[in-house]
Amino acid sequence: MRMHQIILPSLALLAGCNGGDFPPVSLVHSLSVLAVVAEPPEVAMAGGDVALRAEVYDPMARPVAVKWSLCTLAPDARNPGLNPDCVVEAPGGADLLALGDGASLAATLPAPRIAGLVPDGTGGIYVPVRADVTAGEDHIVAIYRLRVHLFGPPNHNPQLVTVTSDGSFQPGVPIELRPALAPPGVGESYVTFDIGTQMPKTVTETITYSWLATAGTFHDQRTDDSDETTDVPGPQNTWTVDANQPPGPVHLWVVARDERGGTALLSTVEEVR
Amino acid sequence: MVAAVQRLACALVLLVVGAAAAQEPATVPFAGTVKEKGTRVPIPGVDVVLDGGDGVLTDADGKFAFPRVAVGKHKVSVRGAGWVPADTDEELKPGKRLEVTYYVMPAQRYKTVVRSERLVKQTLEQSLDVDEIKHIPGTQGDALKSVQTLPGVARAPFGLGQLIVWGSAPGDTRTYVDGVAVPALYHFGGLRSTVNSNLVDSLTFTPGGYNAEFGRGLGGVVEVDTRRPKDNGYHGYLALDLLDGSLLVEGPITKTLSFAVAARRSWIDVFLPLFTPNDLQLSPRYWDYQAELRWRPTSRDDIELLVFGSDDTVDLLQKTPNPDLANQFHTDMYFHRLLVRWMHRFENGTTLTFTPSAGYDSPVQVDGNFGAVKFHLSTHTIAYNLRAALRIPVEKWLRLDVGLDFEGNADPFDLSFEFPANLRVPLAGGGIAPDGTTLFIVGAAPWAQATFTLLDKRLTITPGIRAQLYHFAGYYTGDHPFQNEYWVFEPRLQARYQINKYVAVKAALGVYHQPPDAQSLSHSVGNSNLVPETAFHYVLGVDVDPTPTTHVEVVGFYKDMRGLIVNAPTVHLDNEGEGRVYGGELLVRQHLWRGLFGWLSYTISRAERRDHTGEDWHVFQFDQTHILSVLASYQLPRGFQVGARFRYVTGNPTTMNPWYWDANSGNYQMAPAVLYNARLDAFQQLDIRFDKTFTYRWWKFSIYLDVQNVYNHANPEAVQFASRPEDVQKPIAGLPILPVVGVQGEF
Repeated sequence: MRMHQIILPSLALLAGCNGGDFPPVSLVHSLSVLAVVAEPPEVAMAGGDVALRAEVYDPMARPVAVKWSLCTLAPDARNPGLNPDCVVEAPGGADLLALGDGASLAATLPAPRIAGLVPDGTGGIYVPVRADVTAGEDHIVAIYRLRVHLFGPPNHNPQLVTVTSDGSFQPGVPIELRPALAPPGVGESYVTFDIGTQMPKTVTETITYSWLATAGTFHDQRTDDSDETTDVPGPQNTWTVDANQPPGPVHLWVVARDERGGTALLSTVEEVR
Repeated sequence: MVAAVQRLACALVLLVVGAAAAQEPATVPFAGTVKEKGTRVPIPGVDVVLDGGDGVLTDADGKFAFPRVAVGKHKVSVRGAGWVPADTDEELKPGKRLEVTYYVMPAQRYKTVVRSERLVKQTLEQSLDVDEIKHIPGTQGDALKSVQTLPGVARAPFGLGQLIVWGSAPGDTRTYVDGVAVPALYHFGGLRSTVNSNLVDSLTFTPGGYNAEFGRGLGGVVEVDTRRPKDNGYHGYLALDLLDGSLLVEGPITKTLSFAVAARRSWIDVFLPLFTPNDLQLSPRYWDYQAELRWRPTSRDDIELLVFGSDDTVDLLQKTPNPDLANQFHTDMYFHRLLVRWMHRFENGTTLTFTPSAGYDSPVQVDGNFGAVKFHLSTHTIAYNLRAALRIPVEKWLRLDVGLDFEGNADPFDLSFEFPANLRVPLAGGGIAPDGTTLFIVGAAPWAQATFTLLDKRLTITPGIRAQLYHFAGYYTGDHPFQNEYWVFEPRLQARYQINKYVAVKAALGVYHQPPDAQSLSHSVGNSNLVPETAFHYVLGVDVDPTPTTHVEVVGFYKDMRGLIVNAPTVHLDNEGEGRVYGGELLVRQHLWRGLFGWLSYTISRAERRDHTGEDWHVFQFDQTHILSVLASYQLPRGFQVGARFRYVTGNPTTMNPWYWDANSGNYQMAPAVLYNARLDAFQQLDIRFDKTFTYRWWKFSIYLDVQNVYNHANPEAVQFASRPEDVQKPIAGLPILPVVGVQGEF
C-alpha cells in the first residue's frame, strides 16, 4: 500500500471538479421501491406459503410490472451475504426460480437450501427473493432476504399504526413526526450467539424507521427506537418542505424495519395549496 | 646674440619635429567587452572588427582590445556564429582611451549547446534540454513537467503529476536530484515541480531497463541534475503567474565559489474555488526552496552543497459553513534534503563522486474531523543516504564503474482515531486499530558494471550486477518486534549496436526489486513479513537519426512483476500479487532547428494484474491503451514564440458495479463485479502558449499566456459514486479551460 499515493487522488475525488451535489436519498424523484413486505417475514425449513408485496412509487404514474423469483445460488466465501450473480443474472435465468408476477403475490416456497449460508449478526440465515420492478424504460432489481425459521418463537412484521405530528403541515415550517407501533411486532426478543462470551443471549429487536417523501428534507435519513446509534435518540424526525414548493400533493412514507426482515410501511399525502 | 640664435634654432628644430610628428596619425587604446543582451553574460570567441579590416576575438571573459587605434570615427562590427550581427560607430578622441561594452542578441533560431557529455548513458534514456522545453504549452514554464508527455508515461487522473511508467504504480518510479532520491517531483496536482527548473541543468528520464547504478523501484528513473550557479556576475529572476510566484538570485562569491538561492510560494488556493463549483473545496498551498554553493578548489575537484525542500498543505473545506457537519480534512506533505557532492577527476580520466545526504520528510500527515469522528495519521521519514561511484577508463574499449548506493530510512508512524462514545465501531476482525512505532527500512547496494566499446565503437555492451541488502525492523519497544533481512541480486545488461550512420539497435534487460513503504510494515494497516517486490524488464528498440537534429526511436517492452504487495483478508497485505505489462512506444523528436522544436510520442500498452495466483487477470488501475502527445514550439522574430500541445489518452479503467435495492436495509447497494470492467471516456486536450520577450540591455522581461484545454473538453477523471443508481452516471470532469498569464523579469 502506497498511502501517500492514495491521499491526493482521494482528496481530488472528494472535492471533485464539477461533480454535482446529489439530492438526499429521502427524496423520491424517480421510480422507487419503498419496501418489500413478506407475510410472515420468515419461511420454515421445509418451505411454505409466503405473501410478498412490493411497495412501489412511480412519479410518472406508469404501469409497474413486478416479477418475483427465488435465487438458488449460495453465497461464496468473498460475499457471505449474497451471491452477486443473484443480482447480475438476467430475469428468468437458470438460477432464478420464478415465483410469479404482480405487486402482491402469494407464493409457495420450496425448502430452502441452507448449505453454505452464513448466519448474520442476529444468528439468522436468509434466502434471497428477487423482485424485478419495471416501469417504462426504468428497471430496479430489489433483493429481499427472507429469514429461514430455525427455532424459537416466530418473528412478526411490525405494525405501524400511525404517524403523529406536532403541528399542521405547512410549507416552510418544520414539523416533528413521531411513528407509533402496535403489537404483535413490538418489543420482540430472539436468541442469538454472543461472540464475545461465546454464549447464547437474548436480544430485544431494535426498530429502524426510514423516511421518504416526494418533497422536502428530513433532519435524519433514518431514526430508531434505540438511544445509541443516532444523534437524536428516539424514532421521531423533523420534516421541512420548502416554502416555495409548487402546489400539489406531497407523498410521505415511513418504513419500519426490525432486524430480521420484518417490515411495515405507512403512507400519507399532504396537499400544498 | 649667440644665445638668441641658439634659441631660434631650437625653436625651428622643435617646429620641424613637431610638424613631422603631427603628420603621424594620433592613436589611443580601444578595448571592451561583448555580452549577451538581457543576461549580461560575457561572450567568448566572437569577432570584433574595425572598419572592415582585421578583427580580434574576444577572450574567455568576452573581452577584446586594440592597443593603438587612430583617433577619429570608426565602424565597429561584432560577428559570431549563433549571434545576431551588430554594427556601430565609435569616435576615438586624442589622448582618451575608449572602453566599451557591446550587447548582442543570440540568434535564437539556431542553438549551439555546449555541455559535457554525461558520464553514464542509459540505453533508453531521454535527455531534455531545459532551455528548450520550458516553453512547452501546458507546463506554465516548468521544464520538469515535460516528463509527463514523454513516451511510456501514462496520464495520472486529474493530472495529479504522479509518474505512472510502463504500467507500474505511481510510487514505483524513482526521482533523483543530483543523485539523491526525493519522494515527489511535483507539487499537489502536478501544477509545479518541487525543484525550480531554472536551477536545473538537465533532465533525464529512463522508463525501464536501466543499469546497475539505480534500483529500489519497479518503474522508471528520473534524474534531475542541478546546474552550477553562474559566476560571471550577479543574475536572477522574479516570476509571477496565476499559480504562484518565484525568484532566484545567483552569482560569484569568489573566483572559485558561486551561489544560488531560489524560492517559490503558491496562491492557487485563492483562485481554485473559481473553477470548482462543488461545496467541498480543496485549498492547496505549496512552497519550495533551493540554496546551492559550488566550489571548485582545484581544476580537478568540484564540491557542491545543496539544501532544498518542498511543502504541500491541502485543506478540504466546505464553502457553506455547517455546524452540524464540522468536516475538516488537513494534509501536510513535505521533504527537506541536505546533500554534499564531491567530484574528483584523476589525471588518467578516472572520476570519483561521493554524495552523502540527509533528509526529513513527511510522506503522509492527515488530520480528519468528520462530524464527531476524528482521525489522525502521521508518518515521517528521517533519511540518511550515501551514494558513491568510481568510474575508471581501463582501456579505450573498457570502462569500469563501481559504487555504493546506501539508503537508510527511519519512519516514525502514528495512527489514531477518536470515536464518539455512543458509536460502536468494530476494531477487530479486519478493522484498523490505533498504532504507533518507528519503522526502519535500510538498504545497502554495492554495484559494478563494465562498459565494453567494441567493433570500432559501433557496439557497446554494459553488463552489471547490483547486490541489495534490505533490513526491515520495527516495534522495538512493543509486543511484536520484528527484524527481517533480505539479500537480492539484480543482474542487468544493456547493449547498443550502431548499424550505420543513421540506424542503431539496442536492447536491455534486468532484475529490479522494490522494498515496501514503511507503513506497509505496520501491524495496524500492513504486514511486517512483507518482502521486496520483483520485476523483470525486457526491452528491444531501434534508433534512427535521419538528420542531425531529428531523432526517431521505436521501443518494445515487456515487464514481468511478481511478489506485488496486495490487500489480503486477514493480514491486511501480502506479497501474492502478480503483474505483466507489454507494449511499444514511438518517439519522433525534432531538436531546435530554424526556430522549431517538438516531438510526437505514442505508447500502446497493456498492463494487467492479479492479486493471487490462479485468479483471472484484470487490467491495471492505470492501464491506458493509447497515449499520444504531439507538441511543437516555434520561435518567431522580435522575441515572439508560439506553441501547441495535443494529448489523447485512453480512459482509465473503472469498475461499474450492478446496483440492487436491498429491501432489508432500505438502501441501494452495489453488487461485487469484475474489477475494472469498464473505462472512462478518453482524455483529450489541446493547450496553446504565446511568449513575448522584451530584451533590454541589462535585463529581459517576458510575458506569456498559457491556455490549457482550449476547447474546454469535459474530460472524465473518475465516477462519482452516489447512494442510488439514478445519481451515479455523473463522471467528475477535470479542469475546464484554464488560461494562465505570467510575467518574468530576468537580469
